[in-house]
Amino acid sequence: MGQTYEFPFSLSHTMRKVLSQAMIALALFALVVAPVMAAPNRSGKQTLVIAIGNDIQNTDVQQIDGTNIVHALIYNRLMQFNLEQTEILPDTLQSYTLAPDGKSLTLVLPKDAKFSNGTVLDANMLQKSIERYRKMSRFSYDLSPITAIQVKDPQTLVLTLEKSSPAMMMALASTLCAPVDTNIANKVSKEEFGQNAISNGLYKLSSWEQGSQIVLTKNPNFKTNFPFVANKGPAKIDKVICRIIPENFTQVSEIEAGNVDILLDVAVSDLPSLEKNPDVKIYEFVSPGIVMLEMNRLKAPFDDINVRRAIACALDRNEMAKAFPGVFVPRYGFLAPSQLCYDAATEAKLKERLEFNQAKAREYLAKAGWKDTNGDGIVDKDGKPFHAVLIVNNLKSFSPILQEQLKRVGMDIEIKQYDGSYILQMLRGSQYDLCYNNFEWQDPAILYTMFVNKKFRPWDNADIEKKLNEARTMMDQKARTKMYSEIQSLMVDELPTIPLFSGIGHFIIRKEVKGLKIGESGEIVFNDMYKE
Amino acid sequence: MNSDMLDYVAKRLFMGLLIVITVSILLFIFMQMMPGDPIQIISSPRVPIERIQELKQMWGLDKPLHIQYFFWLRNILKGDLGTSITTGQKVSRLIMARLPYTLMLSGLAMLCRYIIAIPMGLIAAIKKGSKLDNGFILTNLFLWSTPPQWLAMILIIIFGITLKVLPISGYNGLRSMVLPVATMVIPSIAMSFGLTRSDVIDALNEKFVLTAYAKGLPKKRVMIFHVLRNSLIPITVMFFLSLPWHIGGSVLIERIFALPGMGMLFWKAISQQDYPVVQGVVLIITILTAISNIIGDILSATLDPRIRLE
Repeated sequence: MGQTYEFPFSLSHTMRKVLSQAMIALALFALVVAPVMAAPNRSGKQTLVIAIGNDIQNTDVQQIDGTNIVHALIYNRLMQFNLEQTEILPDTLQSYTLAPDGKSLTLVLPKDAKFSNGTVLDANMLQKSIERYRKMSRFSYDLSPITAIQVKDPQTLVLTLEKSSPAMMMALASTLCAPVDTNIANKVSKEEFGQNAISNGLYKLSSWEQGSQIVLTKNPNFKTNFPFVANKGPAKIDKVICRIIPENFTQVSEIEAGNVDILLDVAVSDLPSLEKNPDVKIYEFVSPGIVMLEMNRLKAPFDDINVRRAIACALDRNEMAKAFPGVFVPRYGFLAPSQLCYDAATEAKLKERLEFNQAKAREYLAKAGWKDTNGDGIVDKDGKPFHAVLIVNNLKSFSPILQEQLKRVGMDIEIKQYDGSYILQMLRGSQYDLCYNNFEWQDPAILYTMFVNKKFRPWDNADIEKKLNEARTMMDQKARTKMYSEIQSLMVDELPTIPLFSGIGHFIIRKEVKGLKIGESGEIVFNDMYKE
Repeated sequence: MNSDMLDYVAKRLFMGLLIVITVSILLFIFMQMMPGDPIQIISSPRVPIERIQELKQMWGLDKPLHIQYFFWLRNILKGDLGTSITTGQKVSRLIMARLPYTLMLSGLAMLCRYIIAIPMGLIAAIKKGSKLDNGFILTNLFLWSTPPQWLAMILIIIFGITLKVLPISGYNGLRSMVLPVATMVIPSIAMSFGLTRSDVIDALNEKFVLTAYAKGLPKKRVMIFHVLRNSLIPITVMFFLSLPWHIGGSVLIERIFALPGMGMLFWKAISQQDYPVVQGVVLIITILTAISNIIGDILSATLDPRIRLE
């Protein structure tokens, strides 16, 4: 014990030798190997690299729950909203006509419409594609107003409708309803078609390395009738690589290093550094949806309308938005400007009713019997202090500000963090006090799903339910907007939930990328895109 | 391989099978205890309740737990890991596409870790108490306490953005593995270094080492055949036992460096409660763990005949 041992390899000499060899190796690495190992710039003039956070479910839009940029590139919609989101225009279609009574919709395809594999896209193929959607898609009910589909001639398809439905038009204008080559889909298994679906988009799938990247090459058969693009034919850029990069830091590093051209879903915390980068441009858009504060109306104290009104008046949305600049736009109605039937005048009126006003909030609380009797700053009723739990899945949001604002009027709110799926279950099972909920969809018919669907919220206002149902099928845009204004006003009377914000989304695009058009709700139109 | 060894391997394989079945049952129960279900989680608010119920029936999620497990086990015995609820793809296809990346990352990280840590530990033990030993200890202490996320960021900034000599993310050949492997290896060297150092110090104080010196054996021979061979036994076992640890650790690294490995698949499958994928991945990890343990045990016995295969 306590013995010391002499190093058996004459350390000093060996170490010197090792060190000198290491230095030589390092120098060699720096001079020869490192440049060879340098990451090639995969983003040449004819290749566009887009970073996305999540892999796609699969490539067949009729099998999946949501689409992303990959689907938007490999599918071309039948029709599409204009950039201002005010009108639906033909895209793959040459034209479409809705009968004045709203009982039939005629879709006319151009004579030269083709899928990416060269198969002719005629009325027969479109009929089969729509039928497959109605049979297979999770959103098949979108097309439930269709009672019959008739091929009138090789280019014309007539959809007979039970009743008119703007929601159906919205679905037809989405990527989910874009045509798929059913000849191929019927020949192979569902799984195989999901791996390589054939459609008519600007690009076609070349390879899909799961979890890594999706390589798309331009579709030589592509044609569009969308009036807002100059290039109606195949894409100007040969190849698009959609790289799956889940981590925000890595995404930003890649765009800064010049390996990525377009970044979607940027974290707000990364914006300040990107703003300083002269090589990139930041595009901003407001999401077509609302973030709301849900209150469990089946439980006290939220079963009392005065408590719900007190919360609505106690919230200073501007203070929250200022704390997170560029993240939210305060909202007082249930529709966002990038949604159909949004009316600024209606929102202004609702703002007056939901404006931040602490005195009013205290008044409402007093009306509900909640008063601070012991002077501890927290209101109480029947000897019990006001206490509620707000469940969140992200503590880094505005929740602590909301908590503080409610405390200022005497409401003690405890914040608890849970996994998103658990919150969803608690929300759907009405096992909560307060939580956030949100939706995103361009058509206001989503309000029916959100407020009448018992999955989300027990609703007991027959008048609002009836109006929401009626509004779903109104084809006159003016009358429909008026109806939704009325509905929103009635909803603010009831306050089943409090509208808080619309989220602001950001795209980061390198300056070499030109010709992109971005719609109000963040839709990117790639047809005229090129790289300098 | 003698009959003792064969018996031992057979016993261990049987134990491994029992572990796999036990883990799969426990996992099935735990997954069911989790709130929500995959259909609810992935369904957009626009999907009606009736359609959600239809999908649950289609996937057999409306059936009792033991029936679901029975179907899963029956399919496994047929070699079918099932179909992912969220992507509609075969689980075996998903895993096979990801497994090579995870094995490559974990394998390279393990190799690099031991290639660096063992000589360091050996030198530190031999030069115990010296400046070099203290330097190694301090360096390893620093590396051990380095958060991998922070280290990954630093490496990305230096080698990916500033020097532009290494790819930042994705897999595009072996060089794409340099930063992820470095991020995994650097903090973990300390553990293997510490283990090697203490084992070598213990071995140096053993009587057989004194005897070897007394017999006049050259120092080099004593170090390699007496000290290192004995010290390597726990290190070898640790090497194989650390495979599952590395696979687990790869989740974070794969996410940061956007590597399409099994860790990312597992993480996503858990968050979406995609039972077939979670079960499939855990099955593979459990099998790999069982195999690693068996290899570790056999190698220990080979290195030290005193260890009986019992």
